[in-house]
Amino acid sequence: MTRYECLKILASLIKDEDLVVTALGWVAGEWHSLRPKESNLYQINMGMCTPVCLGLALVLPHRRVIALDSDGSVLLYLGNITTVANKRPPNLTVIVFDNQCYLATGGLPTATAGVTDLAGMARAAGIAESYEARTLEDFEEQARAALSRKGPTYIVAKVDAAGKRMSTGMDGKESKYRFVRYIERSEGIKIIGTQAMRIGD
Amino acid sequence: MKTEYASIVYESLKEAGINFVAYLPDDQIHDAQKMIVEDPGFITVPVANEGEGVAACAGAWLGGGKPALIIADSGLLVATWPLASLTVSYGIPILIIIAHRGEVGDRANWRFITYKFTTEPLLHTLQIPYVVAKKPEETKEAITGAQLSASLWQHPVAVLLAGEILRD
Repeated sequence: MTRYECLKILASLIKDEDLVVTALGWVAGEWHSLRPKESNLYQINMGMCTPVCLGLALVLPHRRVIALDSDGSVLLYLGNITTVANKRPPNLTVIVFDNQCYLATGGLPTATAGVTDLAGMARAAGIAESYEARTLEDFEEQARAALSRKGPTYIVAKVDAAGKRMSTGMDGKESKYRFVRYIERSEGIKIIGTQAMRIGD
Repeated sequence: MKTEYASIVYESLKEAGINFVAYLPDDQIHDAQKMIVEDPGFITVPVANEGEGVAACAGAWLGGGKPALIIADSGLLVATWPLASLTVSYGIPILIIIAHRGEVGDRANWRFITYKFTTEPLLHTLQIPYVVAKKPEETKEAITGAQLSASLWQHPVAVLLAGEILRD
């Protein structure tokens, strides 16, 4: 099972207005090639993808928020699974593409290449709906269930250590502006600019 | 921190429009943290690590919230990675309230000299502007001004609470 195959399935299941945040690495370009929407935010650096999604999910409880995270990234701030578990945002789906290595930086193994079970840890942290997917059929079933569920879901997709080198064609700042302007339009709010602060120019 | 001073911090955050707070409990500022947690007008996130707190605040801002991170000097050391690689590099405004110890004359033990050497130099290194509030009467302007600048600049801005405002 590859990450790209999983992303293809996910792209067919979600709505245009669902907010998707990707971790750093090739996942950003792969996802952009399949679903190039303004409701995507790309390339959030190591450890921060799921915590960013937690903040988003809590301030926009009526929107579905999906984190496309990785094993190396979640291992950096592992305590975050306890935070997600206790805040229980009903609209948050975390998908961890677990390729058991730091693929984009040379392929040396992560702890999940050894004895560590991320889905088991998430469940023990208190995220009851935590699953591991090893086949595409499994992944599709878990993703479908997660997207219709009220409550956080943590899916650890065990994928091959392979990826497609693709670019989103934008840097982080452009991705930020694109995403925030989309939120402003779709929510009818102002986030950037003096109007957002209710002060004069 | 005296209850009346904790109230000043809490009221100033409300006046600044803050509606999302990530925090890790700290001895010097837990009274203000408790007031915030008990107010349903704030979305609060108790974190296990200040770094994930920075990222949660960034996510809150991206979704239209007005976030603040309330931590101690030690938490700033822990939070440096996401402050540098997320809030500074993307330009994401979060207000950082730091209970700052270790100034000369502060009745703090040997452990706190570390923060004399780290807190302000780190903020300079990270290119995070900051203001210091030592007196209760300086605190409101420091907090509301820092939040205004953070929003206008799309950049994190810190408030160091030190000296009298922290005293019991």
